[in-house]
Amino acid sequence: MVTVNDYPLSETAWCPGCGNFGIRLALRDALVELGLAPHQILLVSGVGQAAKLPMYMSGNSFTGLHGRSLPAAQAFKLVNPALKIFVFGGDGDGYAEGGNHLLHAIRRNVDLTYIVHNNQVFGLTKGQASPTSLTGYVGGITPQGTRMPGFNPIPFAISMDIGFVARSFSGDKDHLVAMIKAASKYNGFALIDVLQPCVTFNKVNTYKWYKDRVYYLPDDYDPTDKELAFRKSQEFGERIPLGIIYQSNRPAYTTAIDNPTDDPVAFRPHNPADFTFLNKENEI
Amino acid sequence: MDLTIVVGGAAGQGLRSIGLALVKAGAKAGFHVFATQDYMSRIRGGHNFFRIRFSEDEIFTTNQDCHLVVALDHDSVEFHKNDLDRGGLILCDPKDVQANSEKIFYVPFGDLAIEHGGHKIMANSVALGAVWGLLGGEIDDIYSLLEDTWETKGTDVVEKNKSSALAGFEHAIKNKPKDFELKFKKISTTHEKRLVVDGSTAIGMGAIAAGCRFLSAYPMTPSTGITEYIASHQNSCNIIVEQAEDEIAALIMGIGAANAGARSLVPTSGGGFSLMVEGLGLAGITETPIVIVNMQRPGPATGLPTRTEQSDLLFAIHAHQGEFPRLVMAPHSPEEAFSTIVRAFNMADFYQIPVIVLGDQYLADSLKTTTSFDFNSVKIDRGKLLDEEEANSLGGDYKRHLLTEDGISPRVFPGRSRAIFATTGDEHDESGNIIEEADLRIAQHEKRLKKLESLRQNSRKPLEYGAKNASIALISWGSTYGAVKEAVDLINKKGSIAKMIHFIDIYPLNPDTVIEAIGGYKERIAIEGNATAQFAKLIKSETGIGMTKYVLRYDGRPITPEYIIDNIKEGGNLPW
Repeated sequence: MVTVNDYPLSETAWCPGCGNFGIRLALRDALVELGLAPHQILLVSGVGQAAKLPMYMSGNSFTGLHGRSLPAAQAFKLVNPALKIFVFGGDGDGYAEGGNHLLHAIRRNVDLTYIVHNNQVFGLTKGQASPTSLTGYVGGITPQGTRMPGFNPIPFAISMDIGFVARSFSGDKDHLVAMIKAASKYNGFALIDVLQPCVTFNKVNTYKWYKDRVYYLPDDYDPTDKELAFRKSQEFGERIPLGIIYQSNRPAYTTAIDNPTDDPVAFRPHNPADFTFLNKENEI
Repeated sequence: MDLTIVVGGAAGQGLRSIGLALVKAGAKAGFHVFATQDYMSRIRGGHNFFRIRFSEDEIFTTNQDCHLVVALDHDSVEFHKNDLDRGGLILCDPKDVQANSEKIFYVPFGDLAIEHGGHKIMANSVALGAVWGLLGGEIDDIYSLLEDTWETKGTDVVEKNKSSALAGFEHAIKNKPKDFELKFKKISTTHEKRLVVDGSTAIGMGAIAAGCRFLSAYPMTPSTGITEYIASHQNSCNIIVEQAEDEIAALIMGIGAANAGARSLVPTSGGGFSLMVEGLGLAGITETPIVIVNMQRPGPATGLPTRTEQSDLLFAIHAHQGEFPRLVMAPHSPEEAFSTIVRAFNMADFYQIPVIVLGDQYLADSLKTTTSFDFNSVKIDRGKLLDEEEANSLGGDYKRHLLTEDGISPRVFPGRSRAIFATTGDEHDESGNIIEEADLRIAQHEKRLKKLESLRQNSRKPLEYGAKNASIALISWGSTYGAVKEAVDLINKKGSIAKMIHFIDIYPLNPDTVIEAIGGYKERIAIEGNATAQFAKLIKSETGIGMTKYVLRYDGRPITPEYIIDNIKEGGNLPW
């Protein structure tokens, strides 16, 4: 049986009070509750403070380039469908540098869970505006305030008919555990946008700022109602809903060739002589 | 005997099917065939041509001869009439083309097709028959080809095509000019099965032979042929093919798949490779075995999309910040491409490095007759891999980047055992944890670079061809092989003085073997499809040996034997 002892938590380079700690704890508890052992999972990330999470957890991990976690993660899953894959990154990683990959990952719908640590600021590079920073946010490169509106990933994802999209808050571990479990159980691409205060650089969207605004979607909220979900997803001001905002349950992407989980093609023995038949097609 | 036929027309006129048919007919007749395609970057119109060369000897290159032109439009007459060798003819349909020249030989392709095949669509077969009739070929070769081509459409279609071909054949014999002298010289045909393949197909076949199980790509001319070949065989050959959203994703997917355990191939051209540079470094630091094929075309930016050049050499060697080992190879023919790709996969796995195979449009699209590829003799080396038991016993103590004598660490694939796999594009320790300590950095950096020395030692010597006591060396790499080989023959016809020294393993070079190969010549002439003599610069930087002359081509067209001869005469130093 998998227990919390399988997931010892190592020293981190995060600031004390960072929202990343809450996400890491929630991930650990979700993995234990899902009964997933470290050798069964793969944690994939890019670059940023959030992307360091795999370093501070047990489990297989691939920490690649800024913004490029999703193409790597999808390929891992296509080659080895038995892997349970969780992808981590910040709002800069996922919504700026990796924007094109996110768009196509939603289209492709490979089975994995993508957790975006959204703190509306660049942390690792010390406080610049991120794609989710709200208009007027003052950062190192935008001393007069950013002149663009913040990117709201949820309506974007719904417009793409994403299979599963949720919003959670690093300050509520139980809620985040529930979201990670639900996302993991959905067979397809699941996005969880996790609101997370950056205690060092973001003096606007603080723990209190989020706490004052977030509320839970009621039990009778129907996440399969696309129009309702689209309306709800626009709320990002005085009130911010948390929960599974939309779930289309679109079937997961599979490779064009048959690649069974218990006998993936990549691991079958290879005998070059078996392919001599290819000569035939070009013979004269 | 050495005969070249050009088929010219606008895109969309079916010149590819006539061209292919002529290639196959020549192969059926027992000739060695080499055919190039010259096409413009457009879907319809423009001037495109297929240049088909038949020879008694094996040939690896196109040349500047032109004995017969099949002109499907007026432009083709204008474009090729001055290339025509003495005694050559231009075949065309009087209804499509009216030209005032004694070189024109009219064959009513369309009318004969309607009369004998029942439809104008049979005009290609009429043209085929007419070419064969003019050259004194045997109609049975054409019949056999038409049977192969049309058998799935039923006997009626086969018979109509045969009747059309015969009509063209007889028309040509009956009406050919009295002074027309070009003729196939009867050669003894072998019964051994041969292939007609282009470089793209050969690379695809080689990748499949090597056990490639994952391909990701974004379409880009002239590399798309490789991707489409493998995609069309994904079911029978167990290959996962993914069309990526861009080249950045294509390489990152390849890297993910490779770390998951699949041999992975990423074909592209220079522009796509530019986007992949970031991923190339990731493969470098994470010690990921991956094969990237860059089918070069003239740049920069969009350049000449459908044409050929060898100008990405120094880029391929130097692309990416920082330092890490890589291997660069450049095959020159379909058969060499088949074995180079196998070697690329084996070397990638052995050294756990990115391997770049440099081809170009000329290699990609040129068709050549060759003996069948020997799948039975393909050897697979997956390098250091832990078996499941060893991996399980290590569990959480497994170290992906373990320091070893040769710098190569045993691999495991995540989820395939109880070993925990971790790697990162940050500098890391043996276990794949992010580090910043100076000593750990040095240890990992030197571990990786250690492979470079070993790669250098394993770099293969160049191929040599020509006179024994030559005083002139023609030094080349990649797809220019056939042209340089024939240029050497042309030079040596006037006295044995020249030798070809041709490289397939491009980087890292072994300075000792290069000095041994090129050191003893009075003249060293670099032959390259670029303007800045990139390989010559590499040789100079690795060995201190410079060139005395250069033959460079950068108009997007393939280097031919004649081009080399003409430009050696001019000689001269590098203007840039």
